[in-house]
Amino acid sequence: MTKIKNVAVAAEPSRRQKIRRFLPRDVGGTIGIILTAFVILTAVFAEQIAPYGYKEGSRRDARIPPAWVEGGTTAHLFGTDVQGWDIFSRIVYGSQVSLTVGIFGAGLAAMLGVILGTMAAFFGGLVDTIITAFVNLILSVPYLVLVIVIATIFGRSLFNVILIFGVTGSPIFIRMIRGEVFRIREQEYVLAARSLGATSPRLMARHIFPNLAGALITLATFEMSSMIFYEAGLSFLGLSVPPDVPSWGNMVSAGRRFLVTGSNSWIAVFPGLAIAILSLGINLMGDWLRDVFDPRKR
Amino acid sequence: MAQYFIRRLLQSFILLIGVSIIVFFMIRLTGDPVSLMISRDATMEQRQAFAEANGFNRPMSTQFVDYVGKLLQGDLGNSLQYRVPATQLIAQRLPPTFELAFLSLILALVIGIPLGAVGGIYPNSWMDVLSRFIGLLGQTIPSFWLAMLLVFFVAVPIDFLPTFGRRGIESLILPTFALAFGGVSQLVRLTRATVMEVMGENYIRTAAAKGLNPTYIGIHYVLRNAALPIISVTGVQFTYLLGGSVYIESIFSWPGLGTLLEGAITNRDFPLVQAITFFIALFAISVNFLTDLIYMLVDPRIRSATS
Repeated sequence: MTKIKNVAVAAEPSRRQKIRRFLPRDVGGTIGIILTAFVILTAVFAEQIAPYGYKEGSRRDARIPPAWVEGGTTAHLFGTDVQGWDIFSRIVYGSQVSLTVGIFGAGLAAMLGVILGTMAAFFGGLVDTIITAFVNLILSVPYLVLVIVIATIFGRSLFNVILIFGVTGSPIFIRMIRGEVFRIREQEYVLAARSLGATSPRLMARHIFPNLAGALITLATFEMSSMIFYEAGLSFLGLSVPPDVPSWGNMVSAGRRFLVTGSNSWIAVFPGLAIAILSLGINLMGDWLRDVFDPRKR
Repeated sequence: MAQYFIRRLLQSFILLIGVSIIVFFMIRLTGDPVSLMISRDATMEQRQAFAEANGFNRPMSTQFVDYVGKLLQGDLGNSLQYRVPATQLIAQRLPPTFELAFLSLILALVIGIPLGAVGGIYPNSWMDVLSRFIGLLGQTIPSFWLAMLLVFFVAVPIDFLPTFGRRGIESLILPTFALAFGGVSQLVRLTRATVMEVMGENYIRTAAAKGLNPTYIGIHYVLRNAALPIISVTGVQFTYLLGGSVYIESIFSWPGLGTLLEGAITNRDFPLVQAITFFIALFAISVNFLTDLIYMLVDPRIRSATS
């Protein structure tokens, strides 16, 4: 009995074992996970890490350069901005904004995608036509322009930004899920299950959904990264969260007034670096997930 | 083929109707377009006068019919801040934006396609590592931040390249580079993926089995087959660059469509915002349609399947 059990384990390793087996071989994935985890921990422990509050300081301390530059002080590692606020602390708090938008935006888009994509594939007919029309319509307008215009109308708040990204981000998920459901539904094992009398919900839950979960997680990871990117862009244009909220895009934008003289560059440089680090982490993680879930590469 | 053409044309037309409906309802989503456009401390009389002058007090259906009627005549409404037809403003700002987007597209194609192709043909070579790296950079470094870095650490120190405005050829260098950056990395990724897919085909394996050298296979077999998807991506790229130019134009004070849109947003000039959105969507839909046509003309498989 024990012997058979061992054989079974060797032949069919759990997903966790598969992931573990992949991990050490993939340098990019490892770096991605470390960077992403680093930013998540920063966001969670922001209050412990940040030496100041995100709106703490006065204009008397404005525009202090980074610690290693002449005139800098170790009290403000990355210097201060025009308000005299500590840039390092604001970057730490800014990770909360970026991650919130990324996680909830991509989460909402994925949820809408699963619901509407499955509905389109299962009901077909008019439902499919309407949902597909919505998808094509949203995808026909350049994404950035679409988001900018909607954000202008709804006004600056974190909730609105998440809502906008969730809704406008859903078509990519809908398209993917719809296509996958159509494809998987025709596979032999699903046909076999159906001929054995499995109901649609059971087919969906037991046979179709587990097979598209990998693609869904991969897509959600990449979408999360692009939403963080677009949120920074909206902030940069002054269309995301209110200006005193420490979002990285807002902070980069605050450095714009020095473009003419080229002075005080640190105000824009460090927050931008934070965007780059988080995007790099999530993208590397996404590449790795794609390889893990891609059956051809297994 | 004619059938395919007509069907595609019809699809584009339906999309356009959809976009115009969205654009119409967009500013009415909050329920009160007047308070969107007028300053917060306007009096009740001013609000009423504004609603009357712009027709917001009429029934929604009348407004919509009026809007569609004007649209069919090519009238996208008047700008509130400039008090001239929006189409006139768009026509003025279009050449600078096209100039920038077109140059960036060429730069992106010239760098992106060879790099992605080499990466795909010789996977895991040092060129492939470079192409993957560049492919990743574009997703990692925001274009607006890159543009600012260029100004801070290149333009200002060497004091040669203009950092704002549109005065002569040298003022194009920095904006073009910053805008092309994201495009290069997208093209590298897509070209590399397409080429790798073609590399997995049976006819490539046959060619390799015949003993042809990899470079010959790359040029004669892979690139010819990978060319089509790359063409269609190029069309999408152009509209993508048009969107990205909002940031770049804003940073370099480039007098194009992007800065026009940004100004309209800051001044709550919603008729102009509507007009620009509609125009860009119209443009994107047309480009998609044209790319599909080229695709159909070039690809013998589609040509024979639809004739």
